[in-house]
Amino acid sequence: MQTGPIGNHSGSNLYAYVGNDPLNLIKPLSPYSPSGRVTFTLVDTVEAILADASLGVGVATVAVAGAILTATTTSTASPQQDESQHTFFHGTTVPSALALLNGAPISVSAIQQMTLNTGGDPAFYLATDSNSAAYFGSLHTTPGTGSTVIQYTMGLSAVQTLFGESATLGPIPQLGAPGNLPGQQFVVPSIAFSTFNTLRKNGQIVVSPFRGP
Amino acid sequence: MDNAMPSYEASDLHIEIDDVSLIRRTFGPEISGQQLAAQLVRDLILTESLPLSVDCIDEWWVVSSEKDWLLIPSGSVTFRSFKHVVHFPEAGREACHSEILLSAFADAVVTRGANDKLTWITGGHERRILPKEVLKRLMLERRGRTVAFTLERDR
Repeated sequence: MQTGPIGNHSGSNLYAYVGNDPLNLIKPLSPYSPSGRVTFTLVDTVEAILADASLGVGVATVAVAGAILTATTTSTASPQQDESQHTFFHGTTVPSALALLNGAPISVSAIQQMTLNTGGDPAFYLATDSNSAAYFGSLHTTPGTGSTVIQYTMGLSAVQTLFGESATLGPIPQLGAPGNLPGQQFVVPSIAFSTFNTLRKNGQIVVSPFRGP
Repeated sequence: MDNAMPSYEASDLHIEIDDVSLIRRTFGPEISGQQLAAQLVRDLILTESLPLSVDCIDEWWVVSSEKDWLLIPSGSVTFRSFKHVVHFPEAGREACHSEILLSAFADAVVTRGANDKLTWITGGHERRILPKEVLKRLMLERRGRTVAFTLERDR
């Protein structure tokens, strides 16, 4: 097995952070699989990497991307058709969800409207756990009007492209929430919006309703 | 390739309307009475609902303030924060008002303000027998707002 095309940074062993066994530390994410396709989750592997305090998050992100890409490309003949899929969730208001589902691009102005101008970074937040996304959706919805969750499914190449545009995957900061929010957050910064919208337009990111837990 | 966008309608969505259930799913399975009281006190401090008091009496937590923090500018009392996630940015970007935590995790919650009657937010019939001292706090002391709650697992 070779290391991924991103190379072996800092002379470190990319697979040390996944127990030298990247294939076995990527587990199926069957509940949210698109029909007929096997999906995998980044979460366990990333958690293992982030647990190593000696690594910065940036290095961890690169390392996991390389490890998983290697795992994927060595097991598939046609990455474009068969690459692993990753599902993230976004909670929001019903009108906003419909706009996003029906093709509205993500933009700074739309994000600022959605987040009630709380002064947060103008980034697009996705969660690996649908309940965390649902909590965020309820938090930013007029109480009693109902919120919803939509899911974003994307291949590893799309995830990697966004990592290359400063997107990050990591723990969800508590920031006053009543407890630890489950899962991790995938943060797409505003500088990556254009790339994100292009990936969506090209069908490399697929948006669909989440039918509920 | 330029994929044609689908056309979704509201009927295609799962709309989350039960925030109490959502809070249980997200932050459960258990939160102690001490944690619930601490969350509520945090809110009261941040909304300057002072002076306040916290007591644990006969396995009931009793939180009181001289200020009725559920009073809205129209002069009426709202219990919506017991039923819905209500954003509370003063406590952090991802914070909500804590009353919904009581609805989600306490077995019985009861409240009374200076100008309204005793209201049971949640709790089965068997829980509606309040310890004498808790009842006294709710009915006789007439502070701005008192909330009392109990958790079976704390007993």
